[in-house]
Amino acid sequence: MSLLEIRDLNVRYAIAGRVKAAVAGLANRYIDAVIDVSFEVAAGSTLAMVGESGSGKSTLARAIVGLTPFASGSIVFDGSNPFATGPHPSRAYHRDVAMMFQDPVSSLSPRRTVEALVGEPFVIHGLGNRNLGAEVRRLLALVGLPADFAGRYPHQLSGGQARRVGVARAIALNPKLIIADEPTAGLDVSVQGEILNLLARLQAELGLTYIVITHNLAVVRHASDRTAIMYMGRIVEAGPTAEIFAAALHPYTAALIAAQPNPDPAHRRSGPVLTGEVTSLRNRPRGCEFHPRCARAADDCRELVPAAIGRGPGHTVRCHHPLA
Amino acid sequence: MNGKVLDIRDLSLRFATSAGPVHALRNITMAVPSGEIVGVVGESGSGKSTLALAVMRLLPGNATVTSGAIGFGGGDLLTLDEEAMRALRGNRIAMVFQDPMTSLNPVRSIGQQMVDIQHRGRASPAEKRRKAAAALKRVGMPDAESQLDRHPFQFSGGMRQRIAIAMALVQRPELLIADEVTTALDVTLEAQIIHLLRELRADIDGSILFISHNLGAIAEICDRVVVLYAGEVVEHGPIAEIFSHPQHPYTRALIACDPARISTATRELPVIPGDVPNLRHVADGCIFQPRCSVAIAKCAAERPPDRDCGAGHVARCHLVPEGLP
Repeated sequence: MSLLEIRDLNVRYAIAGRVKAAVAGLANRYIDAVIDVSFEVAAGSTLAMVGESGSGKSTLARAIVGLTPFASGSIVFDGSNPFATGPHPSRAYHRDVAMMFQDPVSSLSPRRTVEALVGEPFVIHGLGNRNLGAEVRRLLALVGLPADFAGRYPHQLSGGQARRVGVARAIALNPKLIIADEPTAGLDVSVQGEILNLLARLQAELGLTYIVITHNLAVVRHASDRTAIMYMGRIVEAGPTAEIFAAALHPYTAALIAAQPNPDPAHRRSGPVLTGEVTSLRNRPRGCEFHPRCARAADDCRELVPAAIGRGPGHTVRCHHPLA
Repeated sequence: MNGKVLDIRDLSLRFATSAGPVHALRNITMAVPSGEIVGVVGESGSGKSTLALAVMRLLPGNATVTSGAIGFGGGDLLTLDEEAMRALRGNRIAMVFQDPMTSLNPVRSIGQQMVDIQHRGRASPAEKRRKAAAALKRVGMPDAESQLDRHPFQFSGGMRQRIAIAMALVQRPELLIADEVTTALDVTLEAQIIHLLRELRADIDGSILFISHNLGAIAEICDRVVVLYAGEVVEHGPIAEIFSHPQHPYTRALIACDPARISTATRELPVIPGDVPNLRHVADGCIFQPRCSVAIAKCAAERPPDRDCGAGHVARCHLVPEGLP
């Protein structure tokens, strides 16, 4: 059963007010950060959202938790619409859907102890009258930190330890869904594994559902059941992770996978697979957004936005000329 | 020619802190042979950036070099006076940093900045500008001439890094130090920058000290690798040797941890248990011993020697047999 169901979600940012747009002669005073995004996440599974800078993956995450209002579309969580009454979802929804932010050291207040930080969700949700100290110790144990860390400040933590505190905060209120924004960015490889293993263990123990937002494909391959690839605000391909890695259908997905540095010096690549850069969101190309960088681009790609077509169970691709 | 552009011998340095000295680099010996790309790989706190700053003589005031020499161009950089060192920086040794937005001056056009760094040259301003445009062209900047009057914020992250590299190469330095230059970039841009550095190297016969925590990037570009752990060189050698026959348990663990090298998907990734040691008190014995899965009694008591594994491959470990091949 799907825990989260997103249909045709659109998020746009205004880049100019009405007056400025009129004076500057802007045809469109918005940039579209997320366009017609639809996907489902099954309870207990992990979906990886992959994309480069500017692909809209973080905006999508913020829209799902209610930090950024969306222009149109629907979000159904656990059978009901948390945004039925307006742009601000209920407190119950905020308890059920937790967000783990990128860069835990800067997302933790430097003036508060680990105990205060991990206890904060309880206080915010009016649950502060519980035995907070005991709750904090239970959570620290769950994320593999010694109880005496409760008295430490963020600057006394290593990157991996700070990330564990972030995990403890995220699971504090027994959420059903955790959205983890770049959970391993900035960590050393030896510590990356620790955090991913911890997330996998908590998923098994607590029955959690994850959306992992990342640009690190090596992490995606190990840590997710399904993968969605975003490019300039659209999901260009989505499917079971193993299938995506074995037989990518979208040329962009294939290029991303091939662009990963090969950790074997005997198999160096001769040159970059993908030239050019992501086009500015202000000058969205006509047709398929990827066509200026695509080797397979034909006339239809320059004119028509490709629709999402199904290729096998649960595998969709937005491409006029998919690779298979 | 097989000379060494950079020849670091027995370099040790410490930082004075309120809690006592931190022995950040200890007895570092390594070299960059002429025309080669040498990778320095290590995790946070291994001292790789400190090493780069030591070569540039840009260490903060609380750093003291306690031993060693940094050989460059026939002399020792550590004995040069500040004036001589200034003449060298940017001219004969250039450095590119991780974040081009902070290393480029935001309020001057890139053309002005690229002319500024040629201030020692005697060429006319017009000639300097031509040189700047040529350097931009070499790093793949389209329409280089007309880009000179734009400011850093008008370029994307990948283009800014190309500009930083162009700027480092304007004076055709003998040594380029690249400190985590691809870390802040998306993977498709990272591939482009690595490819660019490879091309440039063929172009200028440049020697590059390529510092990174990313084993994949190192494997893609370097000829030799130096593995740094907690301020010590634990292993160094030709790239193929290090990746296919790592001898030091740390190097082995580091390579084993890289999720990109694990072909079957798994939810139980390998890790290196424990933490990087506190470098205020450097214990006797092997620096990696507390986290080493194969350590023996000797490892805690006695400092391991540098064992020659043949073909310029050296590992600092008791468990590497003496006189291997």
